[in-house]
This record gives sequence, C-alpha cells and structure tokens, in this order.
Amino acid sequence: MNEEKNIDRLFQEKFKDFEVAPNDAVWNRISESLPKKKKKRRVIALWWQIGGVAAAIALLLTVGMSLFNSSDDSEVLPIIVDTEKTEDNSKKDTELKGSNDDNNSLDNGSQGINVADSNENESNNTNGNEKSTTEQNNTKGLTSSKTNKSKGVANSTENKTKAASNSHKSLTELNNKDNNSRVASSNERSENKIEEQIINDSEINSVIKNTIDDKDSAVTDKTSPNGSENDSDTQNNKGLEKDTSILKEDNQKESILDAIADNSNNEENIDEKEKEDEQNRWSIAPNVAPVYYSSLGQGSSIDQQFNGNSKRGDINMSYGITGSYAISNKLKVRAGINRVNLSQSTSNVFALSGSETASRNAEVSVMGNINPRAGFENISLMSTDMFDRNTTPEIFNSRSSGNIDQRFGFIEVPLELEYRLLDKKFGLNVIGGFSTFFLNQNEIYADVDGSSTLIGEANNMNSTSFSANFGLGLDYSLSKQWNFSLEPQFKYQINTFNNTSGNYRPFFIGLYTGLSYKF
Amino acid sequence: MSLEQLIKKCINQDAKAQSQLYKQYASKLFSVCLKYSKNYVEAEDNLHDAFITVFSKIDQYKNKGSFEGWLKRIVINTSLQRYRENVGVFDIVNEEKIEDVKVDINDKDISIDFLLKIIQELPDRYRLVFNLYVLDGYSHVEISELINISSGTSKSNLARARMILKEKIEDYKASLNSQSL
Repeated sequence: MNEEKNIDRLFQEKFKDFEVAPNDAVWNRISESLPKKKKKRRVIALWWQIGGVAAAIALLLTVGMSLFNSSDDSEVLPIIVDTEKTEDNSKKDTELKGSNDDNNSLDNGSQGINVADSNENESNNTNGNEKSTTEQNNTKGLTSSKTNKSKGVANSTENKTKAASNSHKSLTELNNKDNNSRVASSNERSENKIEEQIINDSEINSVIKNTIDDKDSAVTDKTSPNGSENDSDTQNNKGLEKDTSILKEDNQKESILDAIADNSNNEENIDEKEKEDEQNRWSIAPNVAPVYYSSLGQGSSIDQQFNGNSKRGDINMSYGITGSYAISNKLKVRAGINRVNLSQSTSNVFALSGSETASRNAEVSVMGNINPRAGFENISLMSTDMFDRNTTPEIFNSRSSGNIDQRFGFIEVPLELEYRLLDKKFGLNVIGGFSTFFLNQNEIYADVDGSSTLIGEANNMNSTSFSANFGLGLDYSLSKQWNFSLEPQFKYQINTFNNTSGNYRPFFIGLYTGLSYKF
Repeated sequence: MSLEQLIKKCINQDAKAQSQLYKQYASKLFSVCLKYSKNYVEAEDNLHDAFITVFSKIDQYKNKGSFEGWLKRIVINTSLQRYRENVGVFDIVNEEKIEDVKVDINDKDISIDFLLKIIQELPDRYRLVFNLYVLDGYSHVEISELINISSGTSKSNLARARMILKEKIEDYKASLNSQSL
C-alpha cells in the first residue's frame, strides 16, 4: 500500500504545477467558432438597424401623410402640377387665347408664369441650406423691382438691369448678389421660354383688358410686357411663399429624423453592455388595454348628414396575448391576437319611429349606412343641424335630440417590430407594424332620453380591415424572465368602412399593459 | 480588470475579454486536457470544445466556488464526453480482482513529459479513472457516475492503471541505469 501511495504522490507532486501553453492555432479556432460579436461588426449592424427603423418610420409617415392629406392637399399640389405642365404650356396658352372667361385667362396667366417659378425652383435646389433665407430675400427683391416698374422706370426684361436697380435697395449686398445672380442665371437658362411666355401673357393681358372691368385700371396703365411681369412677380412671391413653407416642412422632417438618429446614437453608448440573454429569445405577454376610438377628419361612418355632428369616442377595453421573438438584442418581431371593442357616439340626432316619419318628407328620412333590425325598419335618423328651428315642424322642437351609438368589435392580429432604444432595468422601445382586424361585433344603438335601443347594424363595415400601428414601449424588468410593460399605441385604421361620408378617418389609441415572460 | 468584470464582459460576448480569459487559463486547462487525452491532438480538440462550452455557458457561473474549479470541471467533462459517446470503444479489460503491485519508486529524476506520456498511453478508461481519482480528487462513487461504470470497476481500473504506470516507470529507470552504466 505504501508503494501505491508513493506512485500517487509522485504523480500528484509532478502534476501540481503542470502547465502547458497550447498552440496559438487553438485560440484562433475557438474565436472563429464563437458567435460574432466584434465591436466593429456590431456598430455596422446597429447602423443597419437604425437605418431600417428610420426607413420604416419614414415609410409609415409617408403613407400616413398621404392618407391624411388625400382630400385637402389642393393647397400644396399646384406647384407640382405647374411644373409638369411647363412642357405643353404654350399649347394651353394658345387654347386659352380665345377664351373670354376672365377668370380662366387670369388663371392661365398665372400658370404660364409659373414656368419661371419652376425654373427658379430648380436653381433653388442647388442653393442647399440657404434656400429659405435667399427666397425671402428674393421675394423682397422682386417686390422692389415691382415698385420700380410701377414708378414708371423704363423697364427692360434684361435681368442684369434689374439687378442693378435692386442693388440700390436697402437689402444687404451679399443677399442681393446671391439673389440677382440666381435670378439672372435661372432666367438666362429659361430665356426662350420666358420670352414665349411674355408674348403669350401679353396676349392674354389684352384679352383681360377687353373683358375685365375690375382690373382694367391696373392693367391698362402698363405696357403688355410690364403687366405680365408684374403678374409674374406677384405669382412668384406666392409661389415662393409656398416653397418656403414646404421647405420648412422638409426641414422639420429632416430634423425629426436626425433627432431620432441622434437619439439612438446616444443610446448606443449606454447600451454597450447588452443584457439580453441569448437563451431567452422568446417571450409571451398577456396584455390588457383601455382603448379610445376617434376619427381624424370631420365625417361620419353612418350618414352624410352627421358629418358636422359632434362625436365622442368611448373608452373600451382590449385584451389579448402577444408572443415575441428577439431577432437580435435590439430588434424583436412580435405577433399576437387581441379582442378589441370600439364605440363612438354621434350626438344631436333625432330618432323617429315609423308613425312619426310617415308625415315627413321622404328625402330627409334616412337610415344612412344602417341595416335596421326587425321591427325598426321604419326608423329614421336625422341630424338636428339639418333643421332651422323656425321652419321645422313643431314635432322636432318638442323633442329632445339623442345620440347614435355605434359599437363594434374586432379580433385583432397585430404583427409588429419592436426596436429597443434603451436597455436597462427600465427599457424603452419603439414599435411599428400593422394589424389585421376581423369584424365580430357590429351594432348601432339609438340613445334617446337615456334609454338605449339596438336599432340595427352598419352595412358599410368590412369584415376584414387593417391598421398601421405606432407605439412607444416602456418596460420594467421584474426579474430575468418577467417584465412589466406599458405601451401607448396609435392605430390608424385602414379599410374599416367602405362607404363613409366626409373626411372620416378612424383611429384608436390604446394603453397596452402587459406582463411578459421570457423563455 | 477584476475577474468579476472579466466574466461580465465575457457574458456580453466582448471579444477582447474572451481572449484575455483564454490567455489567463489556457495553459492550466490544457495540462488537464493532456492528462485526460491519449495524445496532443485530442487534447487540443478537447481544449477547443471546452472553451466553446465555457463561453456559451459563462452566464451560468454564479460566483460560487472558484472560477478555475468551474473551468476545470468543464474541461474534464468535455474530455470524458468523448468516451461517454464512444462507449463501445472502451478497451476490453479483465476486471477481475488484481493483486497489489509493489514497486519501489523514489526517483525524482523522472520527467513530467515521461509521466504524461505513460498516462496518455494507458487504455482510455484506466487513464480516466487514474486522472479522476489520483490527480483530480474524485471518489470512486463520483467516477462511477461520471463514466457510467460501477465503483468496483473504477477501483479495479485504478489498480490496473497504477500497475501499468509502475511497470513503465521501472522499465524507464532500468533503461536509464543501463545507459548510465
């Protein structure tokens, strides 16, 4: 036994401090096998992600804006339209020469003049950041040149002469130079067009002279070229004002995007340590949310006559469950299923039953987009706004108006991306995506004198509709696996109704509260 | 950087920290690999596999017990894994009771390289049992659980291993003596 111990001890002693450095190749193999998490790669990946999110936001904003502005963008569009028309402007002008309608010819004059406008816009673009200031100066410059003309100073179409006269004005020299050289160059480029335009315009002017009494004095004082130039000046000013406002909008958008980018950039430093557990990519979160339904524009989903009535969204509840999968430490894709109820009440409505409507004019007795349920076929709904109290039959004056309550419910299937901005015990996410809605409840109630009666259902609701979702997610980590989250979300509904009147653009806002479990 | 910080950074998959951790422990752990493997190439493979496991599971180290001990257990486990997978390749040995072999070994001139060589030359299971029991302090019961043998087999394997090692050392000494003579 002694000897056995000896052999054990021999090995133990010899191996106690035994160390052998392995070949460097071993580490190379190990580092290649490890998940790629090198810093440089991460920064690139992060930028891709930020870029992706920025692009998604920009896309959603664009879609949103175009939807929001679809019906009242006539103020913004004309400049674009004019630019497109430049090519065949002369044609139009010829057509319009014969026109005796003074409004028409005036409009066309301004359209023609916008050729110069659009040319200037082109040169504006090259000016980059100075745009708005130079344009303001330009407006002044043009105004001053206008005064020159009205004073009767010999007016030539040579822009260089204009520049000379302008430089005497109190505008700063530098701006003036910018201005004038810009105007000069743009006009040189479009010299031929403008000359044509002037001819056309002068012809139009003469038409105007003959036909308009109002403008007669103003127009006749001037030689035809002068007149047209004055017109063009005023038009320029207007056009440039629009330009400036558009550019301001652009700048704002840019600065918002910059801010987002900067923000995420700052977060990047804070988030150096990613705490995301690689093993826990999946999570599941039951959630509940109060939701508030409303519409962006004036309009009604029920009938045209209620467009102007005041409407009030009610707070309802949404509840559901969401599962998410972490694509990376920053980005999660998630899907779920929610039950959501929405309702809206339209006030100042008369609800009349069959016997009362029998004597009324059939034209105002409408049911709008309502399919009445059995027993309510003869009911009529009318907006109080339709009636002047003095002329309406007495029956309306004696009644108090009620509300129409529209209540509907959906099964919502959201599909969203969640991008993590701040990854601490408190987390901050931005959320974007869309939902598909399946209609499962559709009821219209008449609320009169405090009692609510189901009168039917809407016949203009699509069984499947969609929404674009934006949200902000705040979460608090309770433990490694449990998270409490609070997500205010805006959901812009698309295709919910197929026949709405006015500018009815429904949306709802929800404050989603949930408890998520990672696994 | 403290060990704790280093571990934290490794959890966050910081490449620099991983490299540093490797440099700090590779030599020590490679020696373990060498003891448990039958040759240098296999030892390298085991070290590689062990470190991959270390880096993927480092978040499971709870600061309880020594970190080096934790690493060593992973290395040993990885080394044993190879033989658990290949149960059929175990050398067929006579597991009958083996009488104690008495050899006089007081020589301190024996080099570690030689000792390592004869360990690696042992049949796989003898080598594992000898390493686990003699060099890494596992009990026969623990060994029996680790490599799926009975503790009796573990004991007899150990005795066999000792005997083989002694024989080899004696042969070695004899050859040294004959050379010196």
